[in-house]
Amino acid sequence: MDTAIIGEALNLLFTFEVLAAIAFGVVAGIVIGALPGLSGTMGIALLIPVTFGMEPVAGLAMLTAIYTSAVYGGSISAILINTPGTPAAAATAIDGYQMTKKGQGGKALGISAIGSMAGGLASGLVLLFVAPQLAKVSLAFSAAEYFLLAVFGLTIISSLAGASLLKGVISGVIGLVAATVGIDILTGYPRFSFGTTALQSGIELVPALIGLFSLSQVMILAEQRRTGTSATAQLVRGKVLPKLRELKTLVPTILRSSGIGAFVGILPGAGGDVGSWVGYNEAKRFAKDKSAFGKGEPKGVAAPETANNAVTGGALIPLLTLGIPGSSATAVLLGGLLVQGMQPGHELFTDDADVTYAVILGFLLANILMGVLALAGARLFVKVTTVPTKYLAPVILVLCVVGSYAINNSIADVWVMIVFGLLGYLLRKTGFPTAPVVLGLILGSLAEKGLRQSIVLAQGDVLGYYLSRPISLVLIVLILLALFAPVFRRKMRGKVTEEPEEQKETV
Amino acid sequence: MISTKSSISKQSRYRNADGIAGSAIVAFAIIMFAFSFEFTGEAAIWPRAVLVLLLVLGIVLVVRAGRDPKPSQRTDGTPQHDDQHNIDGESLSRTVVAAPMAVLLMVIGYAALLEIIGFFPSTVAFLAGILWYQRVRNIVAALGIVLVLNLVIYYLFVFELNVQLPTGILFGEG
Repeated sequence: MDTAIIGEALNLLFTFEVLAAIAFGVVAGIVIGALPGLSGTMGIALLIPVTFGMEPVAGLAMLTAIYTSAVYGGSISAILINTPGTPAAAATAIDGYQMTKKGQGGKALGISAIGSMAGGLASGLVLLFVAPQLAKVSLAFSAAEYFLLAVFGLTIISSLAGASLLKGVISGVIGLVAATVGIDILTGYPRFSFGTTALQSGIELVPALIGLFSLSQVMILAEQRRTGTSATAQLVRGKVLPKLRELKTLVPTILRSSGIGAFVGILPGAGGDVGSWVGYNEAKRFAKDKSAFGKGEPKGVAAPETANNAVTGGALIPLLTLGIPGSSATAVLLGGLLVQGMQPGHELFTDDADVTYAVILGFLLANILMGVLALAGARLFVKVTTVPTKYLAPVILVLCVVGSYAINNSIADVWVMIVFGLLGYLLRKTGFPTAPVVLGLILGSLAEKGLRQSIVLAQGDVLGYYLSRPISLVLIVLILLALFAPVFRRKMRGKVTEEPEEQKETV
Repeated sequence: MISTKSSISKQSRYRNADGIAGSAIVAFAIIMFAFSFEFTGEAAIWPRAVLVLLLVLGIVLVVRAGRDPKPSQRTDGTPQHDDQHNIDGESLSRTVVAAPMAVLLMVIGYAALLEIIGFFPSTVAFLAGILWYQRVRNIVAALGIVLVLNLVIYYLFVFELNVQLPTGILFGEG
């Protein structure tokens, strides 16, 4: 790593605009993550249009700050009201809520904040040192590899983020169909534009993301009008900052979970929920008194919370180096990257190295700030999370509309957002995951271009061409592994979730 | 006995939802495929291949919905929910979708109004309508949201980001 570039990155980072953007991202991320029903993905999607007019470092650092802070924020409602704010906080609820019932809610929040900060920092360091090395691999890519990379991206998200493999694949293919809208990249022929100029440039990514993740989310929240409002947290009881003696006992758990989380994060598609469950399971396996888990064991909070934040930095590695987002949040972050005119791959670590390193260092700073603010303002964040959704939903809807419009000053983009909002709602209500749609939309043109160019390069022997290239072979193996991953995941989850349930029955 | 009946009815509803979703996907794939006949040469190959794949997957979903004794579940055996922690797969009954569809209609009306009366008047009208629909009866809170949100949007998008928000055909310059 070039120290001169790090110096330039630090200069870019330590400006008022960037630091204010990171601070805003941290606060917004914690609040969004803590509110049951809202998610970091939604927050990132809503704020991408705002970053369009910002300096790349400020905009991207703000989005990554929201990403990591929302993961911590998810633990607040998991600990206090047994309702995980994010799927990644589900494991935290087991012991966190038991601690709240014992009057140790404040301490559980403190442990969660410290674990999240440590996990995020560890994964940020892994990102800083591993990503540039991996990015060099992309230098050897040609059309065939880009096609297989796109297929790999689609396979992992369809097989791991979805409700069922079939529905996941269908969602991905819907995204692929959407990606064909607009002028054909190689022949210049307009496809599925139905004579409208707005569709000739294709479906605009950001309004589609806002529709899929934000509008559809508000539509789901609107269902509460029928059922009444959800549970809200009461005041936090007990001290937030744990004693030094207690912290010392958590250090091995935090270190172990940091490693687990960062590793799981690098595996595209595994995500924060897998990281937290594996972290929880391992903490229990290494514990002397396993029976304490499920009854308010602080390690049961530290382990998943450290791991799920450690996933965030790890998940940025395949995103920044290969352009493969392994989750809905990183898919939306990719949208933020593209809005700034930056392409994932080796260029991020060569031509745009100063910006990229500034964003990574900003990510590290965001994790520190998140820990400090979470410890200092735990009671305040809990209060903010009691704001009813009937006040939040109208604000989010207006931001959906103005954000979609602002990207191109185009009303047509608002209609794209509305169509994708309806699509997202219908998909989610019928059990289809929405993240593969985004992947299909992002990777569709890459796949088509790569395939068509590789067919030309293959000169008639397509199979031979693909099998003769080492990186292509590696990608083919990865695709096959990703296809079998759900079987492995089912076994792993079954093993982890059975035990806490058994314990609950005995309490 | 009652719970068994309810469980069977729920399963049949899920099956039904998958069948309807599959049928809609098949119909969509066929319609889009028909449109692809307008494309020439190489430009048609990829969209057609993707649409055929969608068609086949839609048919598999319909067939599976007809055969399977239970609704589609996660392949990993965990309860069905998506990446945004909401319960999915709940039937699209009229009572469930009424409020979301009302919200969507209001957003459609808002988007249509943007072009006629411009951003700020339509935002005030939209917020007034949706806050009322969301049963917000606290006038001070509602006025606060309308005022603060408009000011924040003006400052952020117009002042800081130089976005030309729609002025509308009634009040705009043209």
